[in-house]
Amino acid sequence: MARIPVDVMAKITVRVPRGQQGYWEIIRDLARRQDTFTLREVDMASNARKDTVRDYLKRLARAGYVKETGETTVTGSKLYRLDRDAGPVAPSLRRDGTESTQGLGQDHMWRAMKMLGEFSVRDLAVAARTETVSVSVETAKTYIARLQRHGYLACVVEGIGPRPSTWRLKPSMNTGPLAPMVQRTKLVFDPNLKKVMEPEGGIHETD
Amino acid sequence: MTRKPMETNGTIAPLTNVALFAELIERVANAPRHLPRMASFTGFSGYGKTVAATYGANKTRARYVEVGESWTKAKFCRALLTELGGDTRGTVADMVDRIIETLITSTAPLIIDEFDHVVRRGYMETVREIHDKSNAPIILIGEELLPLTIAGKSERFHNRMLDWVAAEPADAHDARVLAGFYCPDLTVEDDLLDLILKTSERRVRRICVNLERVREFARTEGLKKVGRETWGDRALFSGLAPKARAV
Repeated sequence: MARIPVDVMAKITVRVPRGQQGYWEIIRDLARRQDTFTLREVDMASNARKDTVRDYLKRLARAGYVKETGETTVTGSKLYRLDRDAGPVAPSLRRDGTESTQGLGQDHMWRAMKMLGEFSVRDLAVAARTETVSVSVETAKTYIARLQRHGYLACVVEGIGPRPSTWRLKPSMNTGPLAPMVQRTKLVFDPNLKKVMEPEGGIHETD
Repeated sequence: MTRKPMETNGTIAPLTNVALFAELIERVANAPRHLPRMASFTGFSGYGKTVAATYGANKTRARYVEVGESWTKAKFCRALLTELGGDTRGTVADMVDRIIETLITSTAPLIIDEFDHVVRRGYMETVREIHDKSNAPIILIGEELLPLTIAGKSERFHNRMLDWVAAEPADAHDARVLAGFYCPDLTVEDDLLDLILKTSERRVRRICVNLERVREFARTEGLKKVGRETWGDRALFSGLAPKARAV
C-alpha cells in the first residue's frame, strides 16, 4: 500500500502517518480524545489519498474494529466509533475484512523472542507458530540472522556440530510492540523507533 | 511423503500447559467488562510457563513484559509503556495515567511475567490501579506460591482475580510431543522417554535439554532409533548440582 519506502518516510522530519499502521494510529489517537470520528478527520491527519484511507476504514468496519454509529455530522459525514481496539499493532486486513496473515510471522517471532529469553532457531520457529500462521525453521533462521546483524540479538552459545546456537534479545533493543521489518534491500527498519537500523560492520559488507 | 512419528511443522498447542494457558487468556480477554479481568498462571520454575504462554500470546496478540529482579516502579512503568508503544517521559504518575489511557480501549491482553518481583518490590497496588481504571485483561505469570503471597499481602488485589491456574508438570504425552519437535528424524522409544521424564523431574526445560542430548548422541552414532538399552547409562541432565569430586 505504501508507495514510498519506509526508510525514506522515516527521514522526513515532520512524520505524517501513512499506511495501515499509520491510519490505525490516527484512529486510536482520535478515539482517545473523542467519542466518534469521521473519515475526513483521519484523512486530514495523513497525506495519503482519501480513497486509500477510506478503503482501510471499510476493512476495519467489515472486521468489526470500527462501527458506523448511524449518525452523521451537520455536513453529512458518517460518524464512526472505535469498537474493538486491537492494541498498538494495526490489524492487517484483506478487502473483505478477514485477517491477513502477511507479516504476522515476524510479529509472532518478535513476541516469542521477548518471551523465550534464550532460544535456538528451532525454539523460535516452534513457539511462533499458530494454526493460521506458519513459521518454518528457514524463516526463523533468516529473521534471526538479520536481527543479529543489525544489533538486536546477542549470540549466547555459538553452536558446534549438532549443538544448536542460541540467542537472546538484548534488553536495550526491546524497542516496542512492532516487529522490526526486514526490507527487500535487506536493511532492517524499526517501526517503533521509526528508523532504519545500521548493520554492524556497515552497509557495504556483503553477507 | 512419509509421515514422521509426530508432526514437526505443527504448533505447540497439544502440550498440556500450552492448552491451559491458551484457554485462560481467551477466557480472561473475553470476560464481560463488569467482571474482574485479572488471572494468574503459576508453577514451579522449569515447568515451561513462559514458553507455554507464547502460543496463547500470539493468538490473542498480547503485549508482554517480563519484570526484572531489580526493577523499581518507574522502570516497570517505562518498560510497560515501551511495550505498549507509548511515550515514556514524565513522572511515575504521568506514566501510570498514560498506561491506563492506552489500555482502556485495547482488547489485547497484557501478560506480566515474573510478577513475584512486583509483589516483593511492593508495587502490586499500582498494577491493581491500572487494572481497575482500564479494565484491561491482565495475566500474571509467577512462581508456585504467588497466589498465596498475593492473598497474604492484599485482599483488594485478591478480589480482582478471575481465576488462578496452576501449570502442570509434563506427562508422557508432552514428552512425546517435545520429542517430535526436538528429535524430528529420530524415533525415541517409550522406555527412554520415561527415563528422561523421570530424571528431568517432569520439567519441560530439562526434558528439552535431554532430548537435544539424545539427538546429538544419535547423530554421532548414526542411529535412527534410540531406546533405553542403546542409551545405556549415559548421563541425563537432572538439574542437580554435581557431587564433590574425591580429593
